[in-house]
Amino acid sequence: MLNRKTISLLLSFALTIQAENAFAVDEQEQQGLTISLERMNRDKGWQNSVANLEMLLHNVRGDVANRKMTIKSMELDDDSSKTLSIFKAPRDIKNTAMLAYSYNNKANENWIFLPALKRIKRISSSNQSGPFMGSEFSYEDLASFEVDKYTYKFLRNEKYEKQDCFVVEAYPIDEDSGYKKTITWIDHKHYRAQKVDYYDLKDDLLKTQLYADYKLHKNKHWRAMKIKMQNHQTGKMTELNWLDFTFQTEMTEQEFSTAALRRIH
Amino acid sequence: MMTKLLLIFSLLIVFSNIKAEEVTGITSVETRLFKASDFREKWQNSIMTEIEWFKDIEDSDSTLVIKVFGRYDTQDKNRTHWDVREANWLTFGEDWELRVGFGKVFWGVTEATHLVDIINQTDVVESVDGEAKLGQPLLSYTMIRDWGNLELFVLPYFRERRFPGAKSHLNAGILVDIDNTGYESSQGNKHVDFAIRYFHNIGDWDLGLHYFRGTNREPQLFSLDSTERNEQNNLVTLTPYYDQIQQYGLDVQSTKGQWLFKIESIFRQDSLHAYGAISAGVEYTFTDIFNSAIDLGFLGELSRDSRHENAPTLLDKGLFSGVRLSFNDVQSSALLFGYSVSLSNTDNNAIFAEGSSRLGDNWTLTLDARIYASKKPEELLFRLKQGNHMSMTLNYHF
Repeated sequence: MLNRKTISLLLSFALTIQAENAFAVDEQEQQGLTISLERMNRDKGWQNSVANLEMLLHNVRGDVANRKMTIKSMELDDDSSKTLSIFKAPRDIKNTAMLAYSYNNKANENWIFLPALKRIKRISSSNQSGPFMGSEFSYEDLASFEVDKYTYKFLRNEKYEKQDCFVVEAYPIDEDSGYKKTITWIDHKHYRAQKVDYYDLKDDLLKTQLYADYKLHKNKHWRAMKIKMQNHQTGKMTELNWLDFTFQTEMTEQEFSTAALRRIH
Repeated sequence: MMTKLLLIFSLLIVFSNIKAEEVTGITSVETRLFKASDFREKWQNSIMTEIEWFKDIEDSDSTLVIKVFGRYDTQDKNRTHWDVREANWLTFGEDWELRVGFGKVFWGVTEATHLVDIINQTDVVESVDGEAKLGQPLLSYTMIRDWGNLELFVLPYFRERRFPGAKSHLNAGILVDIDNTGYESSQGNKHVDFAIRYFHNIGDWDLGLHYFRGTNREPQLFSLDSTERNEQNNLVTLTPYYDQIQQYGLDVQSTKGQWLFKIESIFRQDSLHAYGAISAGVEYTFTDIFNSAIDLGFLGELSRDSRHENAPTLLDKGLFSGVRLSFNDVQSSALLFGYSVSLSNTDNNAIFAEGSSRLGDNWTLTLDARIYASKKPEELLFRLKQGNHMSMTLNYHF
């Protein structure tokens, strides 16, 4: 017969186990968040950058389509950023530009400049999951990493390409996201993303992004010069190759105004 | 006058300290097919080229641009024309811009009508949708501030509107005699016009307010003699008259998620009357429909002109509805359908369909069709029925 003392002992034992499990889950989330915060903080203070890049779109048949663009970015004091992307190739969209203001706690603002009409058009920002220029990268994929936009769970430590990495699962908070979750391999040494697996809303593996050829800029900021995105479901692949990257040049916020869009050439 | 300006600019280019120079352009072949009629050919073929020279002047925040355009048309000799679309020097500082020369300025937010887009004269012969514009000589100064942008324009020299010729299917039964153009101003086309515009974006809102004072870009078309129809081709000859106006206008867009809300409105005063026009539109886009990466957009615009029958647009009180399909594929293919109907007379309507796609790296192809419908012979739209056509345009971009 179990006396009261035994029952209360058993009960407290059961509760302790439960609490420990709960604590373990919280710990994984906390660790995932800590790693992601560190990843973001290591890159803070980049101020501004100008980059020229080319994008190669590979289809299943082996055809390659070429895109070229210049991207100017500026970090602002309140953690928001402004980005101006000017297309250089293919020639029919040359000098078409997209201006984006990204905020942490309110909706982004986006404009497109159409050079043939000299028209500045304000566009909807919600289509984060749509393909960028017909490539395997969506707007969501190309946006800078904002730690507030996800909840995290640390999975394990694992090697990727001979580097020790944290493997962190992230769940997008934004309902408009095209992904159920992402799994990122972040290297121990510099907290740089090396590989990302993207899972679609049905939780099937959709795409894998690989970062290569990391270069250090201004002694602090790591940028991968080659990024590849492979779509496992369609077999298509897009390569992003940075041709050059310049940090902390002389840049003013006015260069990201809608009025300045009309000067693009 | 244009030749003098071109000469000046070519000299400037030769002698200035040039670092970065770019030449881009487009050459395009267009074929249109109409219904055959007695004296007009079924096919209208034309070739067009537009070339742009751009120079970034070294060690100065300034640039030079020249854009020249020309089209040769086999059917309509009025459509064979050339123009200096742009020829200007731009200099800028951290919060200001100065432009001198021929330029192109676009104002507006709506799609079916462009009420506020007044600076440049419409190149009516060039494209049916009224989006092609002639270059406008201008001097403009822009102030870029936190409270918004303020732009001032001085517009010397007025560009007259060209109209389709006798052999064109799109002349709507009218022949415009530009040899006898009349102007309210004694300075004629040398009258100097002014404009000022304030524009700003705050959160979801993009706002523009303007004032224009000068020569009306839209002519009034009068018949000098009695409505004598030319026996040969059944055309009425009209003469253009450009009056002096003051115009106040507004253009606003609100962007909320997938929704776009737009309004354009003008209030115009000439020496005799005052009138107003407004266009209000809504756009909603479904993105990534059925997980296909395709965007499906729906547009609706209502427009109203207090001039009613005397309004220069096809529909004084009209409703436009459109559908846009963007495939977001490697070829950037898109399909656009539009339907316009007059709300005062629903027999008056027009429909168009347009598809475009990129072929390879340097070529794009556009196919389109336009149909005008009307039951009353006195309506402008009825006379435009001759203009029903399909067309194919092949563009080479360099």
